[in-house]
Amino acid sequence: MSDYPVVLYVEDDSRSRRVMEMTLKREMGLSNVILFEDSTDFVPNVRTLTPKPDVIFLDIHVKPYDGFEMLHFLRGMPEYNGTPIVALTASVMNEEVQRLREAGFHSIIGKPVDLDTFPDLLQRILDGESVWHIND
Amino acid sequence: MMRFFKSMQVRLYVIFALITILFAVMFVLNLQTFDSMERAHDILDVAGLQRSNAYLLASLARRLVAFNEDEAAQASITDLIEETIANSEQVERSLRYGDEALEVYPVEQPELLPILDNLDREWIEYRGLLETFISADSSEQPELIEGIETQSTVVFAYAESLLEGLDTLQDQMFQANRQLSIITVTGGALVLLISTYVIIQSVNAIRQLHATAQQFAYGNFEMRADTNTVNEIAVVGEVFNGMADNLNMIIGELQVSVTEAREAQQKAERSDQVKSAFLASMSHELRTPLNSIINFTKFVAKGTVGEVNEEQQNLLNEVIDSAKHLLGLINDVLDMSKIESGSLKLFVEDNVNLNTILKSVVSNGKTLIGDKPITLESEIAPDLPPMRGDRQRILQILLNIMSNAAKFTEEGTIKISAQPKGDEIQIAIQDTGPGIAAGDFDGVFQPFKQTTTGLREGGGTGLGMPISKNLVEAHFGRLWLESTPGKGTTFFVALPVRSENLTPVNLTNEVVKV
Repeated sequence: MSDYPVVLYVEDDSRSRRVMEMTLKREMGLSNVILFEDSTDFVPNVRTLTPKPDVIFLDIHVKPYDGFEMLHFLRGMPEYNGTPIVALTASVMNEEVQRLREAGFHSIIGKPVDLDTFPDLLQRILDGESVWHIND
Repeated sequence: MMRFFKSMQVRLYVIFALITILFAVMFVLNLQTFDSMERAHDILDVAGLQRSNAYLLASLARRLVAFNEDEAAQASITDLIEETIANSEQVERSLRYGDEALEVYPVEQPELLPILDNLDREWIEYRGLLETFISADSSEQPELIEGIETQSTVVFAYAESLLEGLDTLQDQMFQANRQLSIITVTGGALVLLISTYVIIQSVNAIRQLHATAQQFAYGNFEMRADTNTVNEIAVVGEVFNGMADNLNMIIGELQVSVTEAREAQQKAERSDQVKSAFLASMSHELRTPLNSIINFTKFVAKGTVGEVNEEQQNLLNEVIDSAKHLLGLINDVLDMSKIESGSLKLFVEDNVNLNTILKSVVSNGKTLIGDKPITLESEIAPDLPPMRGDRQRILQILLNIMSNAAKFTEEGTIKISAQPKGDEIQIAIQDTGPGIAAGDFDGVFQPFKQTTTGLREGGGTGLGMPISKNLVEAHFGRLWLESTPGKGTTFFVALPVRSENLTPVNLTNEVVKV
């Protein structure tokens, strides 16, 4: 089990949360996986998280604050200045991608997540690469 | 009547007439005056003659007496006297009646006639005395001299009086002439003033109209010409006003149309937004469950949550395949919806590396071929120029064609080639599948159509090709095929390297709409 990287994931669909948890913990052997089920949890707690996440995955369509608002919130926190923030989204319309880029997301991964390619994508993101992986 | 005089033409004619009349009057009066003065002058001359004749006759009479010894002298002096008398008689007559030979007009002035009457009377008496004198004996003549001399003085005086009268008259005429000149000049000045006024008015009317038109041209569409002005200008003004009213109305209508068009556009945009939002939401709802279906099944099939036997693995893999297939169907249907509703937008970039995309296509092709006896060849130019387009969608197009080739071909070769051709890049995917009859070519690009050679193999959605065609055309490229039934099919894609009609997305641009 590896302590690194520390991954934070905000997702309101419980099954999708479980998929990510199983992928990160069981498939990839990561031990530090933090999950939030909606953004009300996220906002008050994110500042005090230990260990601090190395990468943050945000599902765009959560409530009450959507992915963009959470991003904006995070961008205002100097602790997370260099942390890659990845948008996870099931509805990938081109203008959404545009919006996501403009908003300042580091990378974009489309849902359903492809188990086979995900570990590689994560590594590339941690290496600093801006990944834009939509489908298939 | 007023309307008549409001015409520039009429006014100018009137001025012209006034000037002409003025000149005519001046001319005539001048002529008259000149005439009168000439006459007066002539009469003056004649009257002067009469005056001098009076004394002449007296001195001639004296001389006759002085030369009464000389017969010859007497005769000639007498002749002279008679001649002078005749002359004076003629003159006197001429004063009264005028004389053509002397070119003299009679005295007509009423103030001079009494003097003339007197002169006539005295002259007749004088003449009588003289005639008596001539016919008298030389011894009697000296006595008559005194009477003659007295009478000559009288005649002289009256002639003098006449002369003075004529002089005065002449002076008066002079004065009158001068006054006339002054009046004429004044009249001329007046006419000049009137003309100037009229001309200025007319010019002003024109200027006014010009100013109005100018204002109107500058955008003040409320301006109207003043029609209470000179006729010729008023008419133009009316035409102008009519045109202005028309224009105003047209502008009003245009503004209404613009507002309506704007509203319609806003409505259409809102409708588009609604559609987009709906599709986004559908996309999200449909894909989310598949995330868990595919991935949970994978976990189990891989043995992550416990051992599975081969048969279980097989079945689970079938589930995964079905789920992936379903995902493909959902993607296609969503794409088709976007296209049909006009909401599909390209994410155009300027540096798309086609070689990279083709590499993916080739590797995908290999996977799709699996272990079918098919050779995958590639003849791809190594340094294809960077393209302008939506890389995801270009990949989608080529993958679609490749997957069709892989699905429909049982054995043989699939060859993918790519070359630059002019300002396009041409890609061809050739297979040795069953081929498509020429009559079915159009059907290939229609949704849900089946070929005459049988059921669609691999269970495609029937949407892949129509979507690809739309995507190619959105890039302002072309997609077509050639085929020989029994031999194989080749699909061609030609994409402009850098289409002027595509706007690359930068952070502030909107994406291009399909």
